[in-house]
Amino acid sequence: MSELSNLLRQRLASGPGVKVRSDGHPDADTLTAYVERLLPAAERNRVFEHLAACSHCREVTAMALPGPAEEQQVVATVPAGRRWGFLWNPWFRLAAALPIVVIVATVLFQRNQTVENFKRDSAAPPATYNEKAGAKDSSAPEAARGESDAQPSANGIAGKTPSGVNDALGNARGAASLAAAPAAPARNSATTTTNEPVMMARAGIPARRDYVNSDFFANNTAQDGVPGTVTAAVNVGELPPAPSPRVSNQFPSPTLSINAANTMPFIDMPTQSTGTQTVRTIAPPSGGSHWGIGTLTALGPKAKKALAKSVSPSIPVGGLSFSAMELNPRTQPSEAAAAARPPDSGVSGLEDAGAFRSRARSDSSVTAKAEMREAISGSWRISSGRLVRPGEAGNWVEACPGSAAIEFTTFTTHGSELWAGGSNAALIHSRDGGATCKRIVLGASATGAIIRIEVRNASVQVKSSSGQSWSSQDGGETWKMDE
Amino acid sequence: MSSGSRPVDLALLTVRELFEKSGGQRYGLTETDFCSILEQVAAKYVPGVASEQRQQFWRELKLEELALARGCAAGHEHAWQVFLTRYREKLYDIARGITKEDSRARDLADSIYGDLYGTAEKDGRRVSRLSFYMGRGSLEGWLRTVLAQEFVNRYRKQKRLVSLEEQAEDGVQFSAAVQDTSGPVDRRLASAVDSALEQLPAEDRLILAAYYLDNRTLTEIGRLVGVHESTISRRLEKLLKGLRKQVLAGLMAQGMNRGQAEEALEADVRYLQVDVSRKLQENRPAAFQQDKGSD
Repeated sequence: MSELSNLLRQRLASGPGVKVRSDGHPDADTLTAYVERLLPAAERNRVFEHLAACSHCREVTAMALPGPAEEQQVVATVPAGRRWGFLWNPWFRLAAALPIVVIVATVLFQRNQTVENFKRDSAAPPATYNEKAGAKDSSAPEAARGESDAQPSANGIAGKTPSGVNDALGNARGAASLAAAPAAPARNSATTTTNEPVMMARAGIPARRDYVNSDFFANNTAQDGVPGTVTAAVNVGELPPAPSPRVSNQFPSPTLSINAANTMPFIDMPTQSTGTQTVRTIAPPSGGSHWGIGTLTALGPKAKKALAKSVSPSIPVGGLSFSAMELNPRTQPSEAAAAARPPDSGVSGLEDAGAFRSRARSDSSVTAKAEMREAISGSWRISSGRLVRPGEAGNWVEACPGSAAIEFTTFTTHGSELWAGGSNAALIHSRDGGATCKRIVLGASATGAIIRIEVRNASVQVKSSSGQSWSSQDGGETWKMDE
Repeated sequence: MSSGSRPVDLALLTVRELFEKSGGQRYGLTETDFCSILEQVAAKYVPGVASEQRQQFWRELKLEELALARGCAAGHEHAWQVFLTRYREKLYDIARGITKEDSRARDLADSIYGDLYGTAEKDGRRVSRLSFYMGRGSLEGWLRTVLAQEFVNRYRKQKRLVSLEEQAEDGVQFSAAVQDTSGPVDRRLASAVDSALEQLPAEDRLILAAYYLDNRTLTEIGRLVGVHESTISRRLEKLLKGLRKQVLAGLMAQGMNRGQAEEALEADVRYLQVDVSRKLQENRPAAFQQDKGSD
């Protein structure tokens, strides 16, 4: 290409130059209108023709150009209809509309997929569980699936694929139809629903608002000590009192056998799309006496109140709390911390419907923050004051079994090393992943709950809710209170 | 101010509306005067068009500035006050921007002031240069263009008058007389280049002329054409590619094979007799041939 450039340049340099022609120049008005881009296209083209041939006018025009600051003013003087005329160009409009169409089509496609997933799930027959060996009945494959799904193990989370996300979406959204089929499976809700916010967050899907969290009860067969599942339908528009214990009518509780250790009641309420809220149960990991309710997202105060009146069980002290709320920034920590343990004594918890909310409110912010942190950190988590992690068998393994009196509020881990703090300035240290723990006494004057633990090599610093700060420079052997 | 008769097809309401919009009354113009001015402008730029088109053309004029300029040209005192208030400092600023020197700028602006006031007389009447303002662009832009024209004209006049000694004192070195380089001329190459240049759109030829003839920067060309400099860069590259293709095609159309055509293109350009500037000038349209230096 350079040879052509040189060719042009050389010939121009050796040529006679451009003469100033005294006739036929555009007048000052035309040149001004050209500079200010006010000429019609045809006339502008004629000016182009002239300028290409006339160095004098090129020179004048170049000098008549306003400076950069003035140029902006000139552009501003161009009639708006001309400046923005391209907006009415059909090709421009077509090009602008194309991405919008693509986005809308994508959203619709995803929504359809979600609905189909839900239909597929909801079309599955209800199942009963047969988890204990030799327990009653039936639908063995389904029960097996339900059982495996019901265990929110770390493997279950890690094993999720993108399609699993869709399934989770389908399951969760499809929960509305569970109201129409009350006995529909609580089976397939556990893992998907429990992990759903996490997976949604990992998949970049924003947490949904149409999931309603509320308390729930489980244990419709108090006399057997076997918890069951309950499905309650609530009209969102009017929020009438939810059907009170239809439990025994809806579930074949006499024949239902669920391992309490692997079952957790759960509420999942898609509201906006169907106008119906549905309560489902899932199988959680916990000890037999350790029941809880997972909290997914925010519930409107009106709906929450109505639900609390109708279906909430009493929640005794303790209970398993999930930190899924952290994935929904609009959710209050206290709601996330709202977890409940069904009463060991049976279904009488139904009368204590408001306990869930009371419990949620009474949870200290310290606990809520700790739960938020643990959702980020490893597999350890604090559940109602207990430090637990999912076991390999799908159950929850409690750390430091001997420290039951401590209500943990915070912890920190580094490899197999575990530091955990709790109420009454209690601090434990484990070097073997929680199997054996050492209770550490900070000092006689230590008060408040431990709210923060910072470990750097051998330097450990803890802070309590009473404002005290204790530090150790020898890995926790000796402690002194910081000023 | 002449008071020409109002044409039959002139919409009275339109003129009245435009006159009110221009505020010409403040500058001593009457509606009849203003109508006459509008007719003059339309006759110059859109002769023989339909009445609706002419009225549309009028609406796009800078009416207020047109009335001000014509008021000044007519010697209206208030119009001059307004003009000086608005444009006196601007005129000096523009001149300074053009000349890059304060004293020359003041000199240039003062000379233009004289022309604007109307030092020359025609038929016993003072002729102001402002009477040539037609309102197609802003008055400030028009003043800038007038100043630029004046500066270029002065420069070219003075350039011719500079003595060789003076230039030598300034350190100018004179080249030897141009040798006749008409050696092994390949006229086929010349005609192929001419043909390729002729086929270019006017805007592209302007870009080429500004780049190769005037040695303007991409930024300057961009401002001249009204696009971003990066666009000019891309267009220049594209232009050169297209030109090369066309020249090669032209050479092959004249009986060369591709190898010969490329060899001819790579020939020493000193032997090429292509006057691009002349070719560019030849494409000049007759559109402005009738504009006999009205200003």
